[in-house]
Amino acid sequence: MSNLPPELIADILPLLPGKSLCRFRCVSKSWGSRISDSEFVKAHLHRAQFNRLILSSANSLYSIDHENEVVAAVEIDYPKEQTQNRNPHGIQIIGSCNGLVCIMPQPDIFFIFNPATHESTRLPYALIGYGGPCAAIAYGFGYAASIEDYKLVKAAPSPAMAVFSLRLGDWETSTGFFYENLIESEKVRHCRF
Amino acid sequence: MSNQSESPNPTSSSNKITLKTSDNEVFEVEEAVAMKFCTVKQYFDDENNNNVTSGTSTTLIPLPNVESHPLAILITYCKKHLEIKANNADNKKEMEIDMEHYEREFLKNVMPQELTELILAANYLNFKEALDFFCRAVASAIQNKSVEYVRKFFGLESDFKPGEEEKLREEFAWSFEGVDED
Repeated sequence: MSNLPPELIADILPLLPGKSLCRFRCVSKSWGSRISDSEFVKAHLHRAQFNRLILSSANSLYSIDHENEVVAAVEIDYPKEQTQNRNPHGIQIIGSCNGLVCIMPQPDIFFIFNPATHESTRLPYALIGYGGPCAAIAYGFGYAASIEDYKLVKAAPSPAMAVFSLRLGDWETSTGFFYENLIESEKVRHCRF
Repeated sequence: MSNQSESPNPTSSSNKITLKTSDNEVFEVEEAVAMKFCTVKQYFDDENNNNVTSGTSTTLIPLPNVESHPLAILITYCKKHLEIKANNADNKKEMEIDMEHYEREFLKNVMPQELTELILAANYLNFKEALDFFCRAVASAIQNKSVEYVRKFFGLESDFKPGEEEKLREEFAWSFEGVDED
């Protein structure tokens, strides 16, 4: 029996779900490098249909497939620190974008994670402080297509705003942003871009 | 087609085209079916252009890279594809539903191993809809299978150094849960 040439296998791989792709990294070196290639990831993302909702409760995250006749919530693993600190508001979902979810499972501890591949990144502490669980801090998580980077914006009642870049793996601060004014005007609760 | 007026039979829908496979089987198919195979269409168009000047007519198109078994399946698939399209000319949604239903039934009679030769044939014939469909069929046939099954399916061998594969398996251990038996 003849085998498929690599260019036809390349047509099939993007049709596989994330979990299969994680497992098939072990098929061979060339499969492994193709699957982790950034262009492949982008192409796969482009095809992906985001038909799941993510729901948080005090200690769990659930993935909900709402397009099936029977709507079922499946508990999913999520990254967390091995500390006893619990977030009084439960696991906070800061935002989701292109299948990546940004969560704050514990006070001032952020993860960007991919529920489909279980990969995650723990963010370093931000340059601007954590003002306690009730502090008026606003977050926004989004993707900047022009620079192909995911960003988390953290705005606290201070003249500085912190922006985390997933590409840089670090925070940058920008000044001249007066979050208090926005809170007073009650117009803006989240910063998205 | 530009030379249709010269044809003895002006109704193009009943025109037949003869295809000859690598194992020397001859298939007579309707022109509409054969024209879905872009490789055949290209050959046919080139021949017709030549015939305008030479005055000869060739009806037999050789397919040296396609065997009769996959070609017969592709012709069946193509006929049904055209039929469903014609029946739902003004309703795309209905067409997709009918096509999905047909494709589901179709796959019940195809072994996963047969998909490889179907993909190769559809690729050679440049029959895009069939190629897409068979690629999707392979993806759903392997998505819950083990790494070993996939290697065997594609005729691949592990080329990892000792320890490398184990490390990956450990890193993505969760993705090895709930895998179907081979």
